[in-house]
Amino acid sequence: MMDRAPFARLRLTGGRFDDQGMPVETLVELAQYRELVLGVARAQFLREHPERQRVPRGFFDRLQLRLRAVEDGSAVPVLERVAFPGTLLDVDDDFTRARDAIEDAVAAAETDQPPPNGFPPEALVLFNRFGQTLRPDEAIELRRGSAATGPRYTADTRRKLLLSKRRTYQEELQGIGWISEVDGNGMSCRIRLRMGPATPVPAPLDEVTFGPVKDVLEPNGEGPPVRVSGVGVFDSAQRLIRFDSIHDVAVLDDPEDIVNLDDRLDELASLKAGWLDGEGVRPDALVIERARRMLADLLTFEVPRPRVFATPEGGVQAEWTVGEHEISVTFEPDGRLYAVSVNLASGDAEEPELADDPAQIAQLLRVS
Amino acid sequence: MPAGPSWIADGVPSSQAFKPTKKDEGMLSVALGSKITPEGAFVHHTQVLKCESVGTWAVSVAETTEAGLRSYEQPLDDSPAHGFIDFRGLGRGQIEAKAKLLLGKARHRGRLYPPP
Repeated sequence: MMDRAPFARLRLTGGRFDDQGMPVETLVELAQYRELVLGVARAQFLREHPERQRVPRGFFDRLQLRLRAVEDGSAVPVLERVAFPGTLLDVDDDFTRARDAIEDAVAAAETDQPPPNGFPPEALVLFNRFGQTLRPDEAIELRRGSAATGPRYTADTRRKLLLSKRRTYQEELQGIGWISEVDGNGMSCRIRLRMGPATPVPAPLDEVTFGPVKDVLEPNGEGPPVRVSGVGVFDSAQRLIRFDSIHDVAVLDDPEDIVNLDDRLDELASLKAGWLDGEGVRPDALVIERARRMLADLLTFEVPRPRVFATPEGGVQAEWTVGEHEISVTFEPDGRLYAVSVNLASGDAEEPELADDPAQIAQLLRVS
Repeated sequence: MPAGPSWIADGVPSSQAFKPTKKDEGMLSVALGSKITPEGAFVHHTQVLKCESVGTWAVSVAETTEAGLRSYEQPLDDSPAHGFIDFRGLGRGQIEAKAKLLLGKARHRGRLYPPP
């Protein structure tokens, strides 16, 4: 027994984690990991002690985790467990068992298996908070103690865990929409997202968000479009049901950009087969919608506006001229993204891989 | 080369106008500046070939060579000024890149007809 020991190493990979260091906004995942371990440990304890309705006093204080280091390579925060003053650590206790149960559940979800029988189903909801900030191309590899590897926790495995016993899940959401109702007494509003359901969804407000929301309310929900970020609740078909919280609401700087984009995509959607002098497949409706969503989301970044075209194969191609670079991103009919960036001065070209993430496109456009 | 209305946005042609389509089988058709004027090319494309166009852009033989491509004369019965830029044997990434290089040159030159 000792007074400190490695508890877990969470290797963060992909997207924002491929650069040196660890983005500050993702540090919340370390705190949420601890909360998940605490929650699973509590659920396991109560199952093993059915005569109890609460855990013993001081139960949660027994898990003291400290961030000891962030190892090189991909961001690998090392979490060390420290014993409560005056005590020593057990090698195996409620919290190491909870940690291992979490790993086993994630490993099962990785292979499309249900959580192991021993995992308390009432604790699955706790995965809502952990990994909420993960982007589609990012993962957290859970390594217990000093293990060299572990299962990968992604937005996809998170969703599988949450939906294994539940019908909804939470996810961070950012989008463009319009405010249609505001309730000052109930501190709530309704938001219709541009790429969301046609019916506005409810959203809670607080002291910070109430003012900006009230300012953009106009009759029939026809106020200016806003950029809204928060935590959304989705059903198993990934449809937005409501917001559980709103982080930020801000009027778009250039609302006419949305109108211009939508007009152009409507134009492409109206093309007929043979539109290119007898060649040319009509642009696929799903491709148009995907381009509509991604390119609108891209408008929230500080990047140039795209020129948008149809491709003869039924795709949509967005093009940009950024300094000496000509860049294109093609929304292919098969759902993939294909990107090319060419430096006109040197002739150098690259074809970067892109995930379904406007942040990646924005990064591609930030060439000097 | 001509650019149809679907391949113009904000007055700029798509890079797709500078690469062959599937039916071209790797050979991008062009009108040779040594045999026809920009206006003549526009009229020929729209009124003789009955294709759509909103204007004529151009690249020089030297610019084509600089992009690593070869260009050839290929007169046809209905297009005496016809030629092509040869993209045959290139992979997708190379085609896309070279099309963008040609676009850059053409944009720098500006639309030749109708004059801006």
